[in-house]
Amino acid sequence: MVQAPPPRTEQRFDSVPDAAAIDSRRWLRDMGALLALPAMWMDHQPAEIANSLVGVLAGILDLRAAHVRFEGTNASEIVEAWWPPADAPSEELVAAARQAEAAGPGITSLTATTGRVATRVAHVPLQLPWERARILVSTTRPDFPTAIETHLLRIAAGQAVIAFHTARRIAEERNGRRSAEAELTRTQALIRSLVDDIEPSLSGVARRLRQAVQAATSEAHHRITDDGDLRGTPGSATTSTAGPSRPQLSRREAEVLGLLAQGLSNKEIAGVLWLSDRTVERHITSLYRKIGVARRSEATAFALGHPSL
Amino acid sequence: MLEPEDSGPGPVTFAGGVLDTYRHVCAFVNSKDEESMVLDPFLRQAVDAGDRLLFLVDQDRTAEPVLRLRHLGYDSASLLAKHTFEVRTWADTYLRGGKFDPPAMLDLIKRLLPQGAFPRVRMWADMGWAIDRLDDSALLIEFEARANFIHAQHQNVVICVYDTAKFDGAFIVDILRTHPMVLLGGVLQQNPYFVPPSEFLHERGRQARR
Repeated sequence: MVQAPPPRTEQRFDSVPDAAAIDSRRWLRDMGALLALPAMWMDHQPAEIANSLVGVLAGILDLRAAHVRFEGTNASEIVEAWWPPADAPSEELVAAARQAEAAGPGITSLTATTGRVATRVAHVPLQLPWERARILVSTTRPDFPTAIETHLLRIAAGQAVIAFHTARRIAEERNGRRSAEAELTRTQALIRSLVDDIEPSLSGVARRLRQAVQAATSEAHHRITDDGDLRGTPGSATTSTAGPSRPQLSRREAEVLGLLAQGLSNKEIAGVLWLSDRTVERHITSLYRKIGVARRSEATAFALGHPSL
Repeated sequence: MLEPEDSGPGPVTFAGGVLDTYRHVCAFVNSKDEESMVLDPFLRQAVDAGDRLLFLVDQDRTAEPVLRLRHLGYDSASLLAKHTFEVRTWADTYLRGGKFDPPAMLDLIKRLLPQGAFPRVRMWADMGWAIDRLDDSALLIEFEARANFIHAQHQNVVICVYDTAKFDGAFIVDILRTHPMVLLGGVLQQNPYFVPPSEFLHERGRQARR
């Protein structure tokens, strides 16, 4: 069974809604705008937030003058702004502020007369653990502030305090990060300068040490040779053949002797030198004869006593 | 039947890191103990994986890698005979002909580490030959930078071992800039100070012209 569609409501652009509906829509729109303020103030400085707030309030509430003052937890965190832009708040607001403060906590409204003009002033104080705020607004409308206007003022004050708190914490974090980065830069510069200072002298010390070791080694070698402690006839594992009795080993024999003295087996020597096992054995037999030894241990001792070979 | 995809040899682990994209390592060591700590697992992994080991060492210490493998329980003689393990001296490589000749050494490197080599080669180069050879410092730094072009074309692993206590600080910094991977304090890491070789050589050329 098919149901009949509901009757269409015709949209009429020429109809005039009643005043109460217009007011309701307007207040809803204004309230939505005020609630969206913290998002708009993201990344703003506290002074910018305060200036923006008085401008928004003046626009929404059709104000004659406005003044806001925010105080953080320390004295340096006081921010003020007023509307219309001038060097100082208007006289009526200054006078009203004195009366409002005397009135105590809570929203107060009073009539102030400056010259022949009577204005209605509303005072909105806000006290939070981390922030104190005060909003003073004035207009010539005698019914100001209405219940809805009072509600909007409360919302505006609350949103501004949230934005202030966020802005101050972000500023603190940014300042902390900046000081940490500055400290890191200072430390890196200090380390760089230390390295620059130390590096040449360390390199110099290392160079001098190496030279000293080379000189000492050379001197010790000459002393041993001059004293003849290790000089002797071929065949003695602990004697040197430096001088006329030095054995004439071929390059390969010297290489084989070196590897043998380092503890390699014949097969390993063959592998390192890319020779056959037989060739290595032949070189060993030949070098044993030349240096006058019969055993591997004697050949090793000979090689250790003759590093220049 | 599906054939397995030929993706080449797998990555090599070294000193707690993986050598995958970059395999040219600058190993800064301060002592033989520190060297052994990273070398022994590297050797074991190489032999077990069937890779080829190539050592470039001082002639007076040719036996050290052979003894090291033997100490780890491997048959060094057999590995040498199969040519899966080779030891070359500085006199046969970096100082062939009695002096350091970078173009000749780069040619030799190309031959020792061919593209698509099988088994993969793991080269352990003791760079101690450059100690106190101040005249060769600039040549060696450029050589290390140019070697990156060769190393980018093969899958082999190259570990250049520098003893930090024996080289000048400024030299070490330049060496650091020419290796994409660095072993420092016993830990392998991607080198944040690495400068791509073309950029590095361009910069050095500019400095030389000043």
